[in-house]
Amino acid sequence: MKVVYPVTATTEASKLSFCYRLDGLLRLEHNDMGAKFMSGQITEVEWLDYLKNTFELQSQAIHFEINKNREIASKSTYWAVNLKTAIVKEVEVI
Amino acid sequence: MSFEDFTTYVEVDPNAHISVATNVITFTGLARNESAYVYKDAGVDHFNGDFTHLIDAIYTSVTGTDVLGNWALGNDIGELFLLHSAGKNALIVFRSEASGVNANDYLRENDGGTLYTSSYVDTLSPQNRYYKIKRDENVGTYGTIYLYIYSDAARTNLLSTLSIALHTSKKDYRYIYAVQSYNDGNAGAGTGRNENLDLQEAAGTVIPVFMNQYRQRSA
Repeated sequence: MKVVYPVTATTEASKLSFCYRLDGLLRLEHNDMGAKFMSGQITEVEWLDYLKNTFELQSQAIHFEINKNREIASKSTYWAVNLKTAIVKEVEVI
Repeated sequence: MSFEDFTTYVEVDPNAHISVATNVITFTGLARNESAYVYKDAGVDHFNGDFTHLIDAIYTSVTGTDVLGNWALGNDIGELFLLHSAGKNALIVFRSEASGVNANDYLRENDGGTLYTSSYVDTLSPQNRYYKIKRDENVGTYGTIYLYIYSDAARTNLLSTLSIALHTSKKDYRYIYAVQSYNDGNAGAGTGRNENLDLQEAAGTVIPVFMNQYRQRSA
């Protein structure tokens, strides 16, 4: 499986936002299927098949693109970033 | 499906903040100014190739801002701060919780001292987490590690999926950790338990995952 981007998604930023939306929708679909399994609306075979043949494959495809575009974004010089002023302390991050 | 027997693990606990039972490790006031952990030496390069592990991480209270290791693979023995240091290789799942403020889950790769992190931020602490950690070495150049974060033991309600495309080489690991303090000198502390670590090594594939879900549903 692979992610098919809309033609307007040409930058790593737009591709990332597209992928995160995909990830969000996939999460909702997963939870809907999970709720159906827990309530007995779908069988264990159907739930297992969904996890193995749909969810995990789609999740892998999405996260492959997320990681690829995140790597590109992390090295991008599009923004003139000043590390000293661009981040302020709010909550502890290690 | 079989859970790890933690009584066969090595407990390093100088301040008696950890209690180990068969499938449960309970920590009480485990702080960021001590070095305490529970691990198993599985043998050189035991954790190689693809794997899927499950572990339940239950937090009951937090003082200040706590950081705690819930799961890790490494080739060194020590607390979590050590696994973050230069020259080490490790795969880590840990949490940072600020009492009443936030509960953060982190997936991290330490690649020879370079840290790569993916995180999920939730509101309000403490939170219970049910993790599924999966490494697939066929995705990406050096494999990809995924952390599926669930709110329920049956793992039907997914909160977030984190992932890291692994770096520089495909690595094998010897030690597995089921709890680790993060000794950076801070006074934050956490109380809770890590339990039901399932390495899925006897039966393999996704069937045991499902059986656990089925058991939870039937309970």
